[in-house]
Amino acid sequence: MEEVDAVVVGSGAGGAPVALTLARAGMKVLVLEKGPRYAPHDFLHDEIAMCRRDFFTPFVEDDPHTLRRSETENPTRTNAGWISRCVGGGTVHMSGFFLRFQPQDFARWPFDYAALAPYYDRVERELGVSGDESKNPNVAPRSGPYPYPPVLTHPIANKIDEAGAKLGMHPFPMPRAIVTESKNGRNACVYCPLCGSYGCEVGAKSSTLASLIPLAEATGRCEVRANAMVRRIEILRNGRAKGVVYFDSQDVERTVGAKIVVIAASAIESARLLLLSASERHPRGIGNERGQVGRNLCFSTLGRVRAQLPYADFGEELKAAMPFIGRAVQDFYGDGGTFHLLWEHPNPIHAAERLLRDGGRLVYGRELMDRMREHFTDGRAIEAECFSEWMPNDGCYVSLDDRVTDRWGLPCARITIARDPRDRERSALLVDKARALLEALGAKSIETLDVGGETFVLQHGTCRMGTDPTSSVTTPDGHVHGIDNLFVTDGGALPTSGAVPSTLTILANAYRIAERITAHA
Amino acid sequence: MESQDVAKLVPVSVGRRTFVIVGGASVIGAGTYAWLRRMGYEVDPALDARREPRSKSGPLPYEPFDPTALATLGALVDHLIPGDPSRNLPSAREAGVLDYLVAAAKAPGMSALRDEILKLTRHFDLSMKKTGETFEAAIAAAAADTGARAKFSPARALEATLRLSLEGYLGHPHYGGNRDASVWNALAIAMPREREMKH
Repeated sequence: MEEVDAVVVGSGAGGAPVALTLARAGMKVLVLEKGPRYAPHDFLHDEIAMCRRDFFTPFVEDDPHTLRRSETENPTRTNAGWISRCVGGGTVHMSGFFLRFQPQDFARWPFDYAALAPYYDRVERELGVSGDESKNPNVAPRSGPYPYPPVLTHPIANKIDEAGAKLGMHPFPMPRAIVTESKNGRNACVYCPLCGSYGCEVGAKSSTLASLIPLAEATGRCEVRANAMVRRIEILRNGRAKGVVYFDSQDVERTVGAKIVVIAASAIESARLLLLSASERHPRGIGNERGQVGRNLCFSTLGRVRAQLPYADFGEELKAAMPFIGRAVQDFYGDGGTFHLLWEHPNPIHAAERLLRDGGRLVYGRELMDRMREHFTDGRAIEAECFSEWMPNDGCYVSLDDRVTDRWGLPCARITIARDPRDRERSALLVDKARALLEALGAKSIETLDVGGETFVLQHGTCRMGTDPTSSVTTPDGHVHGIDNLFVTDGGALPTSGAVPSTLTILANAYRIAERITAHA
Repeated sequence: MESQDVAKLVPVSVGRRTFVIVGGASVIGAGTYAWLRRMGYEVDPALDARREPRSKSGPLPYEPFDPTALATLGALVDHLIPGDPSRNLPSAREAGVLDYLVAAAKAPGMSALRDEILKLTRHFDLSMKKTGETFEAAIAAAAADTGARAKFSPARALEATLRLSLEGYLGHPHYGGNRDASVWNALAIAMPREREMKH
């Protein structure tokens, strides 16, 4: 049997910081990643290949989740809940909106903001984050400026600043996981129009594939093994984790032993793996003696507003090719959360699909042509994305669906969704504020697309940290209660979702846990 | 001498009682299966586990549409996406959408969608022949069909065909549709024309 010091399951935001930290500490580290490893030339300017097939997320026939919106509803097969299945995980196709949680977000955490702040600094430095904290009066406390200057923005950003000032709002440059200067072997952003939902061909987007994984491999002590699907965690008779069993790229089952086992496969898939690892000793799944694994699932609550900026009103300047608007507002964080403005995604098929429905009626023919002409040629579509907290509740959880299996014959994850009414109230407040800002900007055809909706790619809570084993799965140090060498370091460990995209916090917490592992090793 | 093959053709008599029992059980079994599937149940998880992974299935080794289906499909996509000559906006067929649909239907893992499209073309052929209605009326009737939970739903198949056609109309010219990026040019869509990124 192959033996390493540490095996890390997953190479995204939860896995890569651990692999890097442990390798730097002298450990022999093996990272097992379910998906392939893409090279920069694999990232194409091609909506069909990148966004509409199985490049990042699997076909639902191969690797389904099932989803239901109440315990009495029949679950349906879906690919919702997959983030990304490749080396680098979701950080490869993320948009990289890298805001910190605010101190009040830690009220239900087993430690406070100050404990995580140094690791936020480390992420921003080692991954590469750009921004300008001076423009945000509500910025979370920080020790210094961002390591990279903010991304260049479209001229409309100045008009948004003016409109915001009239309303007493303070739009500020959205910090991005994008490097804006060429240094440390990384290329600066070239401002191509395709960023979110795509891989970055120049490595300017700070995915773990472009940043932390090369650093880990450069230590000579870290191997990243792609196309390795972990199916089970093995436990020794003394109760400690022994290693993992996985299918390799040829679907041959292999076992690797490790002194440290780190699970970072996403909040949903990590919970599934713990449940799939049931044994005589852990009949309900590892860490699930009190039925907590998979509980407290939180996504991020999303509100969306869309509006049109007509060329007739905004002039030729609006046609400038600059892809980023880069303006966010956190003036309503406590009551609502964070919203930011961005261009509608440039994917034309996706945009046209949105025009196919008028209520319940299918739109086609001449009417569809008119809608497309108006949408694409009369102006530019701007959107507001509103992020607010998803309150944990008993009705929202991950379990195994024994009736539906993946292509390896393993029960898939079943996602059961329930919402706390406060989610919608917070989202509605933010949506109202975003609409007001768009109105003040002079936008037309302002349309609320979603209030209190779901972002399935931001997922948390299923293995949450806590001091009480009856209400949590992992300790504040990140290991499963009662198994001191088995850690969960992805979004599943986060007790709450915060009211910003959580990727930066997942990375920071993974660094924090990794440092504790090395301190105790 | 009678050969074995011929012997197989000799009819075997079945008693009325056996016929009623076997026939009745078959009808009840088929009905239960159909009802469970319609309700969203996986009837046999073991069958599900043995299913060939979509990502590993191979491309279709023959043409997905016969000439009749292809003619109907061509007319259909031009009704769905007629273009606008006054703005140099090509129709679906002019933009190469039919080529795109043929290529897409041959691609690995597209069998379910291919079957839906084929059924839709047959549905249009039959309904126009039966009722004498125009293609426009047949499309409108299909779009308004409410049997979305039936095994074959014209409305669902029509929308799936339209969505796939939009891929051919607005997707990268690499796939045979959006010929010469004519649709992007006419709609001033600022997608990079080079598929490979060369920075």
